[in-house]
Amino acid sequence: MIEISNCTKIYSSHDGSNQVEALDSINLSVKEKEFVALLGPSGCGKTTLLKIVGGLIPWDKGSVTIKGKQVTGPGSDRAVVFQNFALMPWADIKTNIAFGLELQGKSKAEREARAIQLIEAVGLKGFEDRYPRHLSGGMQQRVGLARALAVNPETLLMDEPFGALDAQTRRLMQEDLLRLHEQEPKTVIFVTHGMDEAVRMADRVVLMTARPGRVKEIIEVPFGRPRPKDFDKDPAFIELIDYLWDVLKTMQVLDGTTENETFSKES
Amino acid sequence: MAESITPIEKISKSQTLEQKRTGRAGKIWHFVFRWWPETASILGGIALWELIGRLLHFPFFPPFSAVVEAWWQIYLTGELISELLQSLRSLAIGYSLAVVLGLMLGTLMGRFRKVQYFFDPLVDINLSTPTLVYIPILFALFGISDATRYIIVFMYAFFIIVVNTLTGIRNVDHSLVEMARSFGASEGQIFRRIMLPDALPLIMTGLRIGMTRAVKGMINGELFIALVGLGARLRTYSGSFNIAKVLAILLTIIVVAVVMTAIVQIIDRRLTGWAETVQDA
Repeated sequence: MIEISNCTKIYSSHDGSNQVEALDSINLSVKEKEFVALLGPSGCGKTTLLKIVGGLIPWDKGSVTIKGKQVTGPGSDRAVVFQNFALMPWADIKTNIAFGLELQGKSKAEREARAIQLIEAVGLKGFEDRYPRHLSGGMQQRVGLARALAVNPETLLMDEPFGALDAQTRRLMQEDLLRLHEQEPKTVIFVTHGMDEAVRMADRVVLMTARPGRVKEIIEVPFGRPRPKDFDKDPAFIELIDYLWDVLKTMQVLDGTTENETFSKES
Repeated sequence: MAESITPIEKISKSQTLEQKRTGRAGKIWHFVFRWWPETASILGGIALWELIGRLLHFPFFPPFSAVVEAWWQIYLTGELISELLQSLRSLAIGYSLAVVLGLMLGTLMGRFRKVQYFFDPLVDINLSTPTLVYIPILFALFGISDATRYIIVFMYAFFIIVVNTLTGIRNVDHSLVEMARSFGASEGQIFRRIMLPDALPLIMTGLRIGMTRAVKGMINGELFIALVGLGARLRTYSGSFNIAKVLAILLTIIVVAVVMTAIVQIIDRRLTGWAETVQDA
């Protein structure tokens, strides 16, 4: 459904003297209702790839199509969940969740009904009229998830959605997302730097290398859906995580630059 | 253990006391309770003023009570109110103009780099230049007209409003803009639904500082052109060395400044209450 072929992205400084190849000839196809995790070290361009699919940034070479149509910008068939939640601090939870619907020009009644439906789905009942600052990080990301689901997208683009949460909250959110995905599967591209998170959540794990960002390997996760009970105690689960770490370890570049510094070169 | 519990009991007791006191007296008591350091500071200042004034017997430092008496005398002539209204009129016209044009220019500068680069020097120069230097020029251009006083009020408030609006729009949270874009927001929607509300706390700060500056502009304009308003009174009384009356007008000006700023502040709280914890942090 999503076809990425030979996608290359180069960030250059204003005068063009400093060029960073963020993505180099990425090839990836994602099937409908498939859950794909993008895993890689800092600076491998996984977030860049996600934003390209989301139509938020242009790419330089190759093609990115969804259902055969070239990506030219954001669309209501995709919704993004952001690492820093990106909630509007001046708007209550209900309004935040309905923001995508509001931009689409949906009526107030329709927005409210859908917002309430999603508030229940993500377990935030009773918080409709609160403001983001009243909520914990985990709850804020539930709002972020509900806002994305509210527009009923075919594809969810999740950019390290649980990266800013503590370990316990992250596990809870992972389980809730798994449950939601099993109930109503969507195509998901999920950026993460957690090996166990990737294996836990995804059908396939796309392992990427940094500078330039390339697809190193695509690994099928040997667990079906719904996930078997205690699948994370299965030797195959632990073995897969060990394998991912072995590969990732060799890629850790200790040159002092971080992903964010690489990205800041675009602006 | 018992000692550590006492303060909590004390708090809850005073809170229930507070709740019991209703009506006007209760409200005043609550106000004093909440603002006691401020109240103590003002009352203490007045007491000290009165004491020194009485002890010194110095004609240029009348005690507070003499100033209040002088204020009452001016009030009885009916001049105080008419002068006050004159002053407030130039404040209202000059400030409104500064708000409307300041928000417009600040927004344009915040959104378009070229516009910002064009106006930056002008705004910077005018922010750091004492606006008083323009008074002779304005005086020459417009004479002793109302326009001169409006323009002075405007000049005092305008540039700080521009700078705050510009900064608010320029420093908008980029991740929110990206979020809105990802949901298909148009440039207009991004501006109305993200940039404006995100910039609002800074914009309101600009309007608040702008108001205090506008009051200064109002008085300075009247002092140096000296035809109408409280500033004119100030000049007349200081000319005749009637210090009690000078201080009485000064008190009136202070009250005007405090009330006007409070009005802007109340509007600010209404609009940007969501940001309060952010600002406090």
